[in-house]
Amino acid sequence: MNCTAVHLAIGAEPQGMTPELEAHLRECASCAEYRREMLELDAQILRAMKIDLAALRSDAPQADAAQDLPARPPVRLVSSAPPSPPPEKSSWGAVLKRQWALAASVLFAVGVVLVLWGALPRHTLAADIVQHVLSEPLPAQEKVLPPAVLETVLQNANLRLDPIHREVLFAQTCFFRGRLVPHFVVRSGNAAVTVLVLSREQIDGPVHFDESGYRGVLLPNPGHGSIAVLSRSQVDSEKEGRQILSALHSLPAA
Amino acid sequence: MIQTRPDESGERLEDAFGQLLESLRPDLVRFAYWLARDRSIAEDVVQEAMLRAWRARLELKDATAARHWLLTIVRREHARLYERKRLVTVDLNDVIAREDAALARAGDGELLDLRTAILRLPDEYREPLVMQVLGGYSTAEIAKEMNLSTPAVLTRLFRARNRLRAIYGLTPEPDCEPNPEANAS
Repeated sequence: MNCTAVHLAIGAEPQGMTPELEAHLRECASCAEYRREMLELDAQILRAMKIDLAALRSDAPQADAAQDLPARPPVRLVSSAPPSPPPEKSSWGAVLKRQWALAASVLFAVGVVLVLWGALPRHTLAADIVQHVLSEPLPAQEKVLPPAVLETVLQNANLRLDPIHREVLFAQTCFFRGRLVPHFVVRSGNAAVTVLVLSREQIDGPVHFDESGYRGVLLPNPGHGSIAVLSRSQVDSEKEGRQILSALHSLPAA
Repeated sequence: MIQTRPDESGERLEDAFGQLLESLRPDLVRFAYWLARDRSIAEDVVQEAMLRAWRARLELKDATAARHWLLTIVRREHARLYERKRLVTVDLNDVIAREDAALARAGDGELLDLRTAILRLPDEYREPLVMQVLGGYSTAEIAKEMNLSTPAVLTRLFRARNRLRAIYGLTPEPDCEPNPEANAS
């Protein structure tokens, strides 16, 4: 095995090893160095490919503003200011004042944490639904589908929908939370309204949500999970949802 | 409403399979992303692949082989996408510019150049590299999937890495470039 063949073998499979290759690497320092470089490169390629998926979302926030700032010069943790004088012995009133200030600071910090906690994205059913809808590539041009498309999607889930007098813009069986679910979009006035039929997601009562530009509601479908109705436009989702629920029926399983 | 439910053990199996699919979803989307170079196409491909996997779930006999099985479905679904849909032709530089912005948000700034370089690799080099590094495919498996000879796959993998070496200031290996005719399957 000459050096050219060794480089080709290592370049193609840096992790690969054969007795012949091993023998060559023992004798040839430059090929051993080449393999070390390629193993390092491969580790970097793997790191590069294991990308943070959330950051790739088209609606993800722009790059952290801090990244656009010029690099800060290196700073040594040494103060040039003279040391502060030792604190004077406190009076009882000053101690009390400090304790009140400390208590107020703690309360303020707790408040800030609670507000931030509320603002954090939550992995609720509603958040998962919006995430799914955002990731669903819809056709670039709005096109009304024949009713049979929605009928087929619903039939696949053993469901039937009585006429609701809405144009169907999208209908597909989707994989959601480990289940196949009907996902369709109908036009209500000028608004597109998205509906997911979630036969395995039980909820106790209507849940309104407002996530990532979508407003909607989850409505229980007693004994048969729930449905989600949401839109980017100003739509009475609950009214739309209740109309769909009253028109939705289960078919006997085949 | 009338509804017949499958028996409980079947339901448990379906639940377990659904959970397995969901747990592997991030890996599948990453894999599809590096094949398609577009997040929304990747999501589309994975969604279709998961539907196919669900329908074919009884074919999976060994749960430990699930990841490989699903990656193969994703890869085939990605290939099928281009047969099924007439996708709009876009300029590669536009794709790179758009994905650059997304990749810049993905942190690890030091890896941005490498990620961009991977995106710029021609399909015939990028695909086997993604299959090998991210998918864990052997050379023989890649050859079978891509309908190529094993030497052709080795050549493509070597060339892909050789192009990426320059990112790290390492000298590419022009003397090692094999005869292009060896690429023929």
